[in-house]
Amino acid sequence: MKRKVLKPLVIGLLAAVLLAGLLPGAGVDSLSAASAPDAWTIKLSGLRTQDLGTSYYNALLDKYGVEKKVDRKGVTVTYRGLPLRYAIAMIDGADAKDPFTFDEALWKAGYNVSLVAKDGYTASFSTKDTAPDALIIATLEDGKPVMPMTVGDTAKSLWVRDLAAIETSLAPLPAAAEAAAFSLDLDINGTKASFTLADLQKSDLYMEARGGYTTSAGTHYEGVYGGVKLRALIERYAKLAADDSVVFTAMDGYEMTYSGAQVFDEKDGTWLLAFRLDGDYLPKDPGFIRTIKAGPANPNIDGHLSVRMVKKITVKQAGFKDFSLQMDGQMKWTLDRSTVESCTSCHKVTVTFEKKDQVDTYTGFPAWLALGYIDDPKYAPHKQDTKIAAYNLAAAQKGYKVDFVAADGFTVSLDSRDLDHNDQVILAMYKNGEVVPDGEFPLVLVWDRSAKKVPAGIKNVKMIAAIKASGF
Amino acid sequence: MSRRLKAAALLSTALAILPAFALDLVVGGATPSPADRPSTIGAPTLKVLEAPLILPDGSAALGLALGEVAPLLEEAWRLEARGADGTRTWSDDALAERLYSIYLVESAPVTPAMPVTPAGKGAAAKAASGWDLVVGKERFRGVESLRLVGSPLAEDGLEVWLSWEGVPELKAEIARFAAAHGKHIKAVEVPNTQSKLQTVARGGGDLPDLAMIQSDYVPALAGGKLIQSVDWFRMEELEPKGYEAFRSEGHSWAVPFYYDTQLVFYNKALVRSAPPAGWCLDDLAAMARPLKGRVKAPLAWNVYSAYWLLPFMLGFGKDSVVDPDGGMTVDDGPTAAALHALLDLMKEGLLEPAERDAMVAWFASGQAGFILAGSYSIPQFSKLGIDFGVAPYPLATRGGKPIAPMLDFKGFAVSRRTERPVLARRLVQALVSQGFQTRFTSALGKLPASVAALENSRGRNPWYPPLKRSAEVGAIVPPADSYTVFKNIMWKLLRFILTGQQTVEETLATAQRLIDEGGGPQ
Repeated sequence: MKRKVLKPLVIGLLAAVLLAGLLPGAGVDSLSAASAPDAWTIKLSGLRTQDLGTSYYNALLDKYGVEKKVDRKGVTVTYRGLPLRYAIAMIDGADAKDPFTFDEALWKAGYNVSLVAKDGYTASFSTKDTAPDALIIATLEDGKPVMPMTVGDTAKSLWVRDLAAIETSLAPLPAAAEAAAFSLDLDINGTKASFTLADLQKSDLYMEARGGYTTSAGTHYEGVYGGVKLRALIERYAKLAADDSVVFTAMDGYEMTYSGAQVFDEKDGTWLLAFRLDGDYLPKDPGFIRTIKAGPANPNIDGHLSVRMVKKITVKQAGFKDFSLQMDGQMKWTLDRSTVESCTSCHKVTVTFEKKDQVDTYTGFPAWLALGYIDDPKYAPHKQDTKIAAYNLAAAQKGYKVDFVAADGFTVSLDSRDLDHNDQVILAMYKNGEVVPDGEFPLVLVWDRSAKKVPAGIKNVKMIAAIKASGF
Repeated sequence: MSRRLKAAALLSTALAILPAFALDLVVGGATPSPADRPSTIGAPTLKVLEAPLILPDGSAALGLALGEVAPLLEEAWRLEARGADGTRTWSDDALAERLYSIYLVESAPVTPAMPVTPAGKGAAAKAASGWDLVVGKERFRGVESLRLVGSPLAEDGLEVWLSWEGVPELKAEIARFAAAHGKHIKAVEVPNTQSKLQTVARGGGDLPDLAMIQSDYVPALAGGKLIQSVDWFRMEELEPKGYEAFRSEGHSWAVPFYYDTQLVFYNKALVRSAPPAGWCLDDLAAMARPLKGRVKAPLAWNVYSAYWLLPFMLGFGKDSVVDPDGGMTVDDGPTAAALHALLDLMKEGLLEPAERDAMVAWFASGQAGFILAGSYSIPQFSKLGIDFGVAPYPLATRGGKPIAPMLDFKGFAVSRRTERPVLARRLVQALVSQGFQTRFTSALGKLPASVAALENSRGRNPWYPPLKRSAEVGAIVPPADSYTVFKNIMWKLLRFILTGQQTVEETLATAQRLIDEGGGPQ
């Protein structure tokens, strides 16, 4: 059986190797190039990245090769090579296979091409100023092989020997790419959000005003800062209190905490998450985002209060307590507070719970959703492709035991069939609009007093520390 | 072939040096033709340009670099000389790169030790032009004409970003260079070129062709593909530590221009005798002790700054600033010893931590006896009329290692997207040439990247001995990411030690953890 499989595989591989000499594509060229003693590769970057290797170059050279006669130190020298346009065609569009289409309109519109030699020498030109066929990538000089070089009807500075790379401004520079990929992350009492710099720039909270800071040495720096209003941004998610903590985490791991009262102190100016200074975007350090106060009064803060390179802002309510919930079943998980809060935010349910004539409202998320973490040996919510169901419906409907375990060991066991899609039995974090009190913190198992289906054997479980599933 | 290229192929440069100290300059073809463009530079012009030089053989002479009078060439490959020594031709494909290392000097009497070309033997008496041509260690006497074969440089419209001290002087020099060669060069002062380059790149704006940078900018700018490797640029006359200061990932990323070093400045009104040669930290403390109670700070410097701590770390035993693996170590014996030594000085009431502005104010007003400051302070203090002396850093302990001053190199980086790479290179060659380096750095109290220029200042610059000593024992600011991380973290943590909130050991352990997490050794 193995032999039968191997034969077509070998034929396939041979075909691939043969094709490698004729067709370009990532990996293919390098395979054939590696076998040639004078193999070389030119790295191309533009809208795509691609390697131009000897075999594909030679295939193109046979079809489209041209000669250029140039003056070199008073002597006419003949070069044979491939017009540069064929290399550019490989990266100036989305087409990833031969034949590549050269985008002449884009060339005429203008972009920058940099020719990089092996020793790092780099010369650039604007395509607007240079004809697409002015330069060739030559490999023959008066009939003798040379390492690839650019040569042609241009300034000699563009005649680059030992050509190693061709870079174009069609590819964003790393600084631009990094800035575009940057996000500011917010964690406001467990509610999470992320913003790109472009998002922040477009925000209605964006403002520009003058502000500055003074270092401990007494040096003063100021300018017109642009950014979003810190307090207003936070309060889009939760009301900030004076004794709350606002923790800034920098890209280098540095942390600084403002109290809510500090954020409220805007007598002389508005606290900004600034990412522009005097019209320019801040670079990665001290940006992409730094805190600053700005306003008509040109406020000046102590330098150490201006947090640089802000990556994340975490707001913790006064008396904030962390917790974790142990999940044990087909898999094991430890869910942290922010995950539970996030779950509550996304799947919020409020029930009216009655116990010994005491009626309270509790807010949380349906308990059956938590079972998704432990009802399957392979899949769990947010840990897999969204196309895969996070909840094992079949197992739930077949029935398994679910234990809700309190910190003191008190346990209530329910049947998954009673919990399945029962949105009125919840794990609550909030009671009457506040975080559940100490005797119930962090989570409480409650159900609506008018629930259509009250699971058999259910009891109110406070201070839940773990959920265990068994009997699959 | 384009019309412009045909013209380029025809052009070359010929220089004719005539008797009576005149220089005829002829721009011509690869072979003499009617297209040659002759011009004459008179003796007065040559005399204005000439300056004391140190020649490649180490001798001194009055003269100028050929690059100062030759037109800008895209490339040159042959130099023909005719003079008292007969005729001589030098062929070199990279001749255009060497024009600032070839000198025209006033003729000197022949000495037996001086090598002369074979054609010139016995012809010294005919050195009537009064000028010799010096190529390497070879001296061609009584040169009467020079023919330089190459192609002219068409590039134009250069933009240069300048920073740090001396921008007006640099702008003036660049303007002179541009005018002399009929080029348009825009020189712009930019306070922080790294930040501005990144900002402009991010916004998709136009980058300059050249930018001044310092060594710790290299990782970000090279990694960001904003500057190009200058491995192709090599002038043997430049300080090797300068090349090291801009070397990263196996490549050089800027041409060293000048550097500053750290020195001990003392107020002569308070400190009557100069520190002795080979002095140590104990000597410094002993000299400061009598000032206690008389001035605000017998000793003052920016102890909060990691940049000013590093020399002490090296003095107390560290082998190098950056570890061989590219990381930085601070939770080690030398760093702890350095900090304890500084704390002892503070506890004794001798050392007052102060950042630059406060420190300078105290020094100028006679409230600080000794300060540690950069060599760039020399012209500033002179201008302020302060009666000060300068000494190299002391040894850390008697007979021990020197507290090694940081050598803070500034250099010229070439944009990776420049469309004028040759003009950029020619300007850099002019700026790092011996003549300009001597003029510029002596006026600003800086150390020239040109070794010959530094040597040239011996005997003329009263600060030469401490500057030279500092250059010899100093350590470069490393072009490493880990250095930037170290600087940022230590800046935040040093104050915990200095204010007594944490012990040295606790703080260094924390610093090490943060450095390792934030970009230290991977």
